Amino acid sequence: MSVRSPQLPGDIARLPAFDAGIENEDIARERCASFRSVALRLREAIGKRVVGQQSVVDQTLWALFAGGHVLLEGVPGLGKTLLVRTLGDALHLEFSRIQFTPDLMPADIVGTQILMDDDAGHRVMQFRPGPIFTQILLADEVNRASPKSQSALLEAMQERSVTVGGETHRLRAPFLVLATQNPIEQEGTYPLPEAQLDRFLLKIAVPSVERADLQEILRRTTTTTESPVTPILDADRILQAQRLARRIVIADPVQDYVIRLVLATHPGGEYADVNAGREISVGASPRAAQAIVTTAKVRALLDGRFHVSIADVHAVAASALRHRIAPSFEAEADGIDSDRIVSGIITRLKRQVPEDAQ
Amino acid sequence: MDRIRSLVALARIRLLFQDWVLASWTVVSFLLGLVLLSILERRLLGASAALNVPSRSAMWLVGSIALACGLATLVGWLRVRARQLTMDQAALELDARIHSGERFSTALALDADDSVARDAFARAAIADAVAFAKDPDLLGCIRAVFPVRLSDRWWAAPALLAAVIAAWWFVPQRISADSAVKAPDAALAAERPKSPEEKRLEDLLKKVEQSPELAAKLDAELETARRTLDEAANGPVRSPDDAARESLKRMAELQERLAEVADSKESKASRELRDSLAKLDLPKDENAARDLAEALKRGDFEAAKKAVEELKKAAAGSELSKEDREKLAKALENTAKQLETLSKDPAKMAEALRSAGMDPALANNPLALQQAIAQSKDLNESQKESLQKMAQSVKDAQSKLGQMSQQMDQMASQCKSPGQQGQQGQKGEQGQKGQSGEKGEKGEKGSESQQQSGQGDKSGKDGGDMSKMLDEAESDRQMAMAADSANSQSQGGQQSESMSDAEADSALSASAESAKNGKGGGKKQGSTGNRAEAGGGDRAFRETGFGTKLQKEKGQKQEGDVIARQLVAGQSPVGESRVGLQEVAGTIATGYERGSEDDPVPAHLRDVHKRYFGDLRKKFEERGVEAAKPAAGAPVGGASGK
Repeated sequence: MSVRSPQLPGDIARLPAFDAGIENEDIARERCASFRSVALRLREAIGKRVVGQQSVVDQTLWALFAGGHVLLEGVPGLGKTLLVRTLGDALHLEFSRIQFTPDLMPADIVGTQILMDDDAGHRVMQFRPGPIFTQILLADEVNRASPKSQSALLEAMQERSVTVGGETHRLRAPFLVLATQNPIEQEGTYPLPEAQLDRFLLKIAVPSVERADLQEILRRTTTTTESPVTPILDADRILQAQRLARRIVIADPVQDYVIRLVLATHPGGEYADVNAGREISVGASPRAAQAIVTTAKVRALLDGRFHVSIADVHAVAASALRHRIAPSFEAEADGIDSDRIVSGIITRLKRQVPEDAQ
Repeated sequence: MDRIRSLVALARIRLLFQDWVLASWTVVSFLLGLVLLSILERRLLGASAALNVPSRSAMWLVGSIALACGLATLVGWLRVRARQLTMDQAALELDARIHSGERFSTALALDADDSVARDAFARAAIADAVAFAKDPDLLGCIRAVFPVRLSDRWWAAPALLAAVIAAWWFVPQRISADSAVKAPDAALAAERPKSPEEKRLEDLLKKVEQSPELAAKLDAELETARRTLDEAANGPVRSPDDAARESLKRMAELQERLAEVADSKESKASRELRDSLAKLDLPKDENAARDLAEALKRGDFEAAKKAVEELKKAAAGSELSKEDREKLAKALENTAKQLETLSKDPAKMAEALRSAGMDPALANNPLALQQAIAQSKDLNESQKESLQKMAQSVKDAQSKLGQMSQQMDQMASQCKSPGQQGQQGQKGEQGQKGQSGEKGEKGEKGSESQQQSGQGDKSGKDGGDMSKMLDEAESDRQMAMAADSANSQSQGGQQSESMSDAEADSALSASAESAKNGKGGGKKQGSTGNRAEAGGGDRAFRETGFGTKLQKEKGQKQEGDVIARQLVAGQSPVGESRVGLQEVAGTIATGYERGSEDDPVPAHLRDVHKRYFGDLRKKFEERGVEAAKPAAGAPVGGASGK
């Protein structure tokens, strides 16, 4: 665990709080504009180290400002860890990394109580925090740890607190878990249970890099030059940004669209998609709708809008739903993954409320 | 916001209009396709005659197209109504098409919600939408993204319309086999002159229908005959022979039923009654009683009923002097006596019994007569039945005569002493006395009255009973006369083709005479039947009262090899051959002679041929003579050379 405390750039430090005193639309516009500029700088800062993967970076930032955790899935070597590390550098937040292994114990994550001598020479039980007591946690190869160790993350991710030895310890906000997992090497892994998957706001699929990106990667990583990343945001700013994003409005028709999108994944439901019964065994939970809306708000905010559009919903739907939908055996046999299922539902879902549902 | 609303409204209208256009266009294409198929079906399959639709009617074409357009418009409108597109939905569609990021739908939704509208971000979102809506190019953009245009297959409807008009104009009407038969049927049937048989059947129908009682009795046969005539006039074309054969068949059925009616108990009784009444002597004085007697003598029961009514008025009124009353009563009593005498006259029955070879004295004892007829060994069943019928009809007629006599006697009493209603009651008492042993004249009358029709206890209604009785008699008379007349007319019509008018009249009277069935002896009837047959040849047969029956013999099938077949065009005639046996024999013999001359017959076979055919001719001649002999004295329908 390492604690960083660099100073923020002066211009950012001088900015008023993003969510403070928004009484009229002019102030709202000003706050949103300043946030947008900061977010763009953060994006550029990350881009100095992470080549390509712009979509992954954007989605990670959405999750950051939406206050949710991210599960990064991709083959090794695509820069997942680098992304998280760079994010940690760009944010003036505490950063920890846990390499999940099969022999990792929960105490290795949350910490333990040890017997120590106090100043008076008495022996007392003292809690020694684990690496989870941080603000940005990189849970590398999270599916390699046993379910017991994986479950140590559950409370922390949902409640933002850790209970050890009967004592509950609050985690500092913001708390962001960025977990990675390898979809290929399934030998000796423990797939995350649905309950834990549901805790992740987004599951971001990290794609392979393009040729041009690879050239840039080689250029940057095989020389002696190293791109320094200065902190752009601190915890307060991030919390302000999270509150600002939540003020973005979503109209009823768009919200209804989100609801119908989630319900369309429920096989046998009233609004189920035509293929839901065949392709889906378990549909998305209400937490999926929350994830879509909050993430879509961030996207709308970053896009310079004060309202959520259906395009925002479409943009975040795959990341928000892919780990919350359990494809059926038939779908897996046909090679249909969650992304294809979500894509099919979005294609078939009408923007307007169906006439018979009015 | 007004701008946003107007833009959304514009988008909604164009969206609905587009829906209407597409739905209407699709429906009109479909309906025009149906019209085209209908025209082609009518023209190529010749179904127009069946549908009774003029195949080249411009009105039909224009009407069909107009109907298709109207229906399409209606369906399009219903489609638009069913969609129920709201402004919010239209705004969503507008946002999607112009990629406005749901600005308009969000603005409309937020504007409708007051609580949300107070939020700075909501106001900012609305302001963004308003600013976006101010784009002057947006109107054109909306028109572009909400086009009102036809679908890619817009050409289907015009093409179908052109095809409809072309098919209507250029495709000729095909005369199919069916329509060729059906369409000209009416025309051909109308053009074809009616055969004499059809005309006779029509005449017979008219004649029968003149009498409602008779028409009611022959309802089924009349219906069949009408249908036959109708089919001949409007149905499928038949050959004249077929039509004539059908008409003859129906006429034969009708004649058979007419003969049955004419031979019925009521008809016979009516004839007997009229025959008896014809013997009445008329009163000398000119008064109502003479009118009544005259009407009865003529057998005109309608006139007799009027005379009775006049008598009742005269008897009840005070116009007549006492002398006139006495004269009237006397005349009535005289007529009543005559009627009573006639009611007991056994001459008719005696004559019939004598003709049948039975003892005429049996006519005086009905019970003995019944037993004698039943036990007679000289009579066959048919003759017995006929005699019994005749006996019954004579008895019925005499019964009616007796009733008339009694009624007239009562009217005479009333004329003598008008206003005394109790006299009839006394007569009833007298009748009872007579029944119990007193042999007085009036007692006998009363006894008969009670025994026969129970009139004794209704003595106060003499005038009404007389009228009722005359009504019944008139009804029976009309039915019998109508049956006789119709039957005679039809038979006379058949005969008239080969007979002169005088002969036809003679045959008519003979037919009427034979219809009375039993009046003359067997000889007389036989000669009548022979005349009819000789004159007409194919008149309907019916049983005479003496049991001569027609029997169709089944031909024996020869089981030999078939050595030749002959194809005969048209329908094979089925029925009884009526070619004379002599004619057949003559044809065969002549054919042999001609064949012997034309075709050389082997010498060793000539004698065999000559002997065979020569013998055959002789045998035919012998059989023909044998057959002709009984035919000369046979009744109607005697064997004509089987």
